[in-house]
Amino acid sequence: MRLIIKKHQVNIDTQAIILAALLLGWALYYYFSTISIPDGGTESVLFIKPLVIGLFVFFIFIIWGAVELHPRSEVKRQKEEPTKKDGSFLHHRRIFFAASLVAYGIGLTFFGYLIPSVLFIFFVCFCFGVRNLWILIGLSIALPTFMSLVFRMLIHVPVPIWPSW
Amino acid sequence: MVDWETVFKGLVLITTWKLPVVVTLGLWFGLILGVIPGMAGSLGIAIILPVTFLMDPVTALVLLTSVYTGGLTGAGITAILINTPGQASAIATTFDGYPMTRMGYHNEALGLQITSSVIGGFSSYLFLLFFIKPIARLALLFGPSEMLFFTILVLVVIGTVRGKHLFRSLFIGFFGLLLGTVGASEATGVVRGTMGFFSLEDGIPIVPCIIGVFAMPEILNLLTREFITEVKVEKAFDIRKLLHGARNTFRYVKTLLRSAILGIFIGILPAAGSTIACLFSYAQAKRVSKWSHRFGTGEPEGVVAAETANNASEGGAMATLLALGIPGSAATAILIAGFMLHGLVPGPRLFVSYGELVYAIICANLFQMLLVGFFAIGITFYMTRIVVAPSIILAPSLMVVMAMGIYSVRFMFFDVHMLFLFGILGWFFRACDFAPTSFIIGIILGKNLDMDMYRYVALFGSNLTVFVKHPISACIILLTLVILGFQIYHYWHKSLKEDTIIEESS
Repeated sequence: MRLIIKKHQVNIDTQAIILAALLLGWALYYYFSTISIPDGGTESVLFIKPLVIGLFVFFIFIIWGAVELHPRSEVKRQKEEPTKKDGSFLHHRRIFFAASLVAYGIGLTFFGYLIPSVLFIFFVCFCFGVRNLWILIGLSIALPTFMSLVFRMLIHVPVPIWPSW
Repeated sequence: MVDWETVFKGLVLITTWKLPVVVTLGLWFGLILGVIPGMAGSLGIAIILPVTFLMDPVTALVLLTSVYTGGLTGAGITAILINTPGQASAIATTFDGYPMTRMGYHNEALGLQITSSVIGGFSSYLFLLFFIKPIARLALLFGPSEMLFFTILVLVVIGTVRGKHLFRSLFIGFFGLLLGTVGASEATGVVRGTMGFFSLEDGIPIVPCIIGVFAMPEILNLLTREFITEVKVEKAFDIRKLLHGARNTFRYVKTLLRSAILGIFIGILPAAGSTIACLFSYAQAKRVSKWSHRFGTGEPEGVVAAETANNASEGGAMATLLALGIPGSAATAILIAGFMLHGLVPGPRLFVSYGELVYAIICANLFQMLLVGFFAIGITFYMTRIVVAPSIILAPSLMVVMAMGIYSVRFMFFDVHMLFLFGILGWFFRACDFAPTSFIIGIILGKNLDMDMYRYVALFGSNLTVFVKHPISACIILLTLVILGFQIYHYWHKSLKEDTIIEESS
């Protein structure tokens, strides 16, 4: 985030602050949820307590380090510098892939390994522009089938290949 | 210095038909992945990890280290041919390697690169063979307080090495330590932070966490490119020139020695790793060379300095991993997962309980170093054509393979969910400059340090002066304070300078 105050430009690395705040939030939840356990909760935070205090102290330093002050003369030059578009998580491919992973993860629990894996490869490749049918159908069926066979037959991993219901 | 009896026991462990097979397969796989930009060695180890279920611990660990060695060596090949390092560790190789290619000396440059890599790697494992015992003895002196302060020192060092984000590194390291304590407390029996998931009662599963944090961001980064790289290699291959380059390496004996020593010692430092080793070694070679003005324009000595240090850092990193159980890089962190899969915990006790296994790994690595040169010469030019593989097909395929591998660890799809979660989290860690290595060190050591804390309080109460009375922990505290003080002074000095510039310009 960039702010321009009088003759200065203030750059704030909001992504780092938000991530640190979220992690600190979880740490606080962890500490308070442990301490509220009736039997032995208070004794169980012996190591957790100094860590949470440490996190809080470092969080302040992270905020301090995330704010940068630049003279206005640098603003023009920075505007001219091309920004990296693919560096952001908001790139459509990353968002789609992350969403597909969530669906794939849920699918694995309910439908076993094979069907969600076939669908995952097929849809991700199709949506990213692969139109070669040999790759789309061949790879999406062959790879999960090969993995299932190798792990089930050779390594004897009891992986649920099909839905259990 | 060397326990030769244990070394021979280790040699017995690896004198089977399996060794040459797994070393060959591992080196080929590592070399192939090494030349592909963006496919770091850590990803290669993560992909091959499930295959090791079938194997005994020695064979499995030799396979994993072969992939690691192949990856480090292969990374320099594309750095020379297409100015694109396969991994960050080969960045300094591009400085003189690519100019040599542009002048038509690519065969000679590859000869120099491969020979330097072999010499660097071989000397670092020789160092490990002779010094692992004293290092492990020193590590055995580490009690709970020493380990706690050493962990904090490591987190500070990682932050310092990474430059301006010291506090982000410390924050994420502490968060890792906190996450490492999730699950049933061994001291009080209280189940903490599981959020209702029974699968977390044994703690956060380490293998999915390590693979997620290190391998998945590589895949997410691949997605924004159609192909891994769109540069094609159409240079002529001349084995005679390549061998001439290999012979020329021995003209730079001083550089070889200096770079190997620098590489080993930088490799020992957690998080410094091969990238810093090769850059530092390159800078040193340039500083002391008679032909320093030629560096950057195709000077063979530059290639030798960068590649020797790059591979020499591997032995150093393995020393820290085997003796202290602390990973120095993404690849060594995944190697820890490999140890854990086979019921072995790297650290001070590993050498005492499984000394022959440690020596078996070291001897197998010496063998690997001799072979990697031949393989690299044989397939150099053919491998570089792989870089045109479409990333959009690779990404989902790799996820399906990894999902099966992770399921196989505990037979739980919950672990696959954890892989995805930590993968996405790992991407954000990288994007925001939170050192993933600090996080993993924290998560690996968190549970033990939690237990050590209870042990310490039971023995000494809340008397903090005990820390200072222990000479090792006192030294570690002092060293940590010196590094922290220096870093804070550096910050202060820098911000004062910036303020002056702002005032002057306004």
